[in-house]
Amino acid sequence: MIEIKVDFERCDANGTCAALMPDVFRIGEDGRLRQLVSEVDDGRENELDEAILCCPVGAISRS
Amino acid sequence: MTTTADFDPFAPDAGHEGGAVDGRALVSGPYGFAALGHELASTVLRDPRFQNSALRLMEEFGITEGPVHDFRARSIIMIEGDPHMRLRTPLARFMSPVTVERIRGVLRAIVETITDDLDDSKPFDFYRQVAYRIPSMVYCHLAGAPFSDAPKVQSLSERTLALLHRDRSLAPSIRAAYDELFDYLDDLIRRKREQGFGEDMLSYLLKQGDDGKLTEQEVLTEATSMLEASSVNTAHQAGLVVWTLLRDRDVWRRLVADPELIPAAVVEALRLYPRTGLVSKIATEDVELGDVVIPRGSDVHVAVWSANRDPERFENPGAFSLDRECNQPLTFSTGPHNCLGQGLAKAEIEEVVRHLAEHYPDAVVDEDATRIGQAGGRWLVESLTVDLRP
Repeated sequence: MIEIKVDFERCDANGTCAALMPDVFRIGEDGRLRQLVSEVDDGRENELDEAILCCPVGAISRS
Repeated sequence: MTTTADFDPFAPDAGHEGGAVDGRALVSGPYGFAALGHELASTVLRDPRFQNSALRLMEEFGITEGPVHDFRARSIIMIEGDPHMRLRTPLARFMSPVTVERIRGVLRAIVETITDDLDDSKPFDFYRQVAYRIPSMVYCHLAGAPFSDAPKVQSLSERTLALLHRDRSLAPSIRAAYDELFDYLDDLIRRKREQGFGEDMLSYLLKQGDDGKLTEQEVLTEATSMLEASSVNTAHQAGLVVWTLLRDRDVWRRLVADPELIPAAVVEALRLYPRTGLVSKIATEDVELGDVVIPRGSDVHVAVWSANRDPERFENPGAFSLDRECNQPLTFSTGPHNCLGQGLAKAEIEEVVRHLAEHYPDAVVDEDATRIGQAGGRWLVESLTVDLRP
């Protein structure tokens, strides 16, 4: 499993990650980001790396 | 002392305490409404019921139909929801902080190429000769265009986004600039298809189109958005940051002694002198903001220049401080429409400052030959005369 970390101080909930991995990240009713799971299967490494790559504020990292 | 009656959201004021006028974070006047408080400004910027006013501004300028109007109507700043995210993600991956760290060497090389040509023995216009030239070269690298296209790219970005100066007399020049931009992109795409795709952003977009992940129209919309936004704002912002840092000699000495402080210094200068000092929106329905109902169709101007100096959010807001924790000005907006190029823009500016701090620790601004101005609520550099070896 790969551990996912979000730096919520940096996150501005622009929703790019939620568009790419909706089962992992979601923008709540209050406009804030929810991290739905703390890790994903190794098989989703590329997908996660794309979400990390696309975050305009660089708030996502992984183990 | 500014009163609500004479407050003008289109005139950034470095002496304005920020965040409110007469204790009010939301004010109104002949311009419509203006959001001044950091929290309120963030709320408006994040709320999809407030739509960017760029399309209406274009219509007021007489551009009410045709390819330029159609582009603006379906562009990334105007749309919301899933179609918006479809356009954002393919661009985001080329400009994020993660990507930028991989191309920092390229940014440094671009800064060095430009500064190599300088005659540093006498004062010169740092804006025109350095800051102005960098972003379009970075765009060429990203888009996989030859560096020889950079002056054209810079000029197209400057002339298309002149819309935001809110000067109606510019309408014919804006329309002509977009026509020229569309022709340039057609030609660049043709060259790219002939030469074969590379690892660049434009190749990626074209491949997304060929694979059916984006429509042909979306590919062109993306490419146009990227080109118009490529250069002009970053050029002015780089000039504003250099101007701010060189004039504060205590800060400048700290940066020369410890270049690790440069990223924090850039963010702090971005807070105090935001190029994008105003983001204008239109309420698409009646919206309650605190105890005020903003009627549908109203103009709501987010005065980033004021929100960035809100004492409720930033202690001693008029002072330059390298020690602010969680320093997040609204210079690149926030939320779903935040600036996709912010990581790239910051890195470009950091590299310019780093180059100066390393090679020209004694550099100074010649105040008499420098003019910092504003248009449409946005700070701009008219000239920035710097003496690198005083």
